[in-house]
Amino acid sequence: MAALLGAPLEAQEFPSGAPGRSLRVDGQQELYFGELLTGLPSAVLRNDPVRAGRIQISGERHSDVLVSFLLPAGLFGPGGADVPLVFGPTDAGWSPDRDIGLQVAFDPAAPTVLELPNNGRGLIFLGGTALPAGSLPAGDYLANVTLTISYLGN
Amino acid sequence: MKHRTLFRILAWTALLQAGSLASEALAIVVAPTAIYLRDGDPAEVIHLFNSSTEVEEVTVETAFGYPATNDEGSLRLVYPDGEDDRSAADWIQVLPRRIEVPPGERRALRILARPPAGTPEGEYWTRLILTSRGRKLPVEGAESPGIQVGLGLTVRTVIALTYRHGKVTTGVTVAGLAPEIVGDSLVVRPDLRREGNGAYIGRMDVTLVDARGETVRSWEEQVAVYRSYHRRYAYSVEGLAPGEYRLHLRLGTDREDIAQEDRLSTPPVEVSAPVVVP
Repeated sequence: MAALLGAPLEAQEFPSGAPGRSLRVDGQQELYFGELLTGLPSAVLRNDPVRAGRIQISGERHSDVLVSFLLPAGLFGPGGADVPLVFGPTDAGWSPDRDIGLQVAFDPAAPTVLELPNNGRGLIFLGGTALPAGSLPAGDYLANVTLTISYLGN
Repeated sequence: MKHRTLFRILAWTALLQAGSLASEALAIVVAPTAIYLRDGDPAEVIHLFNSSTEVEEVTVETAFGYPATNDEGSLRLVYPDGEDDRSAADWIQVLPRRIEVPPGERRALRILARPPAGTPEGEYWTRLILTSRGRKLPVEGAESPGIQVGLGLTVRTVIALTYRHGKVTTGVTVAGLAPEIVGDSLVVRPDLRREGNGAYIGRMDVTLVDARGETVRSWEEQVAVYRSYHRRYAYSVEGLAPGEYRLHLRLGTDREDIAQEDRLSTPPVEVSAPVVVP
């Protein structure tokens, strides 16, 4: 193990024929709600090539990773005001082919096991719906999304 | 700052503009994905690489947990409540516990096992949870003094740590191999039980052969049997001709992603069962 760790990290990310011992998470594209009118919901489909969130997971081929999201119910602002966010049971998708048109839907609110393909890389897509209220007070509206990737092969 | 802004609300026009849930700048690499320590080699290094354009803060914690299956046969990572005689979570030291990784740079975390005196011989486990988040920055000023919205993204990467104390052995038994065809799928749920005092970390080769002994389908799975492992697998057999087949399972410890010195090598275990495709 010491010899492997002594190699440059970039060189050992996903070597072919050698132990692939890294796990990489790349947020590649924003989940983009676009311009919204207050009081009108806006849904982003997970197969929307421009607006869906896209995250690449990279690791050892054929390895299982457990993916779970901790999703906010809304974005919270001054005086308890919020912009609710809704994520449905098919708002996340997994593409081992890294093709937005070839996704298997999964519930972003439930832990899901994904198997990395032969090249060790796959894409997670994420959609969702924003429900802005009819009026909102000025100020900052903030929230946090947590994505947990657990390696299950060991 | 773009990656930090989910959307902005322009108060006087009641328009919202988008930002990100999945920050395009966030990218973290953790290596290795499994750490093996032993009495004579109780220290190791975890490398972090930040390929994003923002500083990332990484914190590390330990938690006792291991892969297991639930009643439906789904694979999960369980974190048992209370004390467990196999837990190393309380005596694994990580230095530092919190570190900032500048963009394009790497940093190292040092891991040291300090088992208490009198620890019985055997294998001990914990999970390392590395939480990375972009450094908190103020919300960027807007053209208007209206409402601004930001959404942070946090990534938790969970990897395994194993400590071997004294003589450690492993093995696996297979029971309940009863494959069946459900629709276009071959469903199999072998009951794997660990032997010895160490987790069985291996691979399972699944092969379907026809009446002439020729392989018609094959699959490969990683298995990590810490206590028991009763996972449900469903493989597509779409297009397979009706007839009699035989399913072979071969479990071995020759995992290419695990260094030779870290493997607990055992002889392969092979079982098979008939399958009838209607």
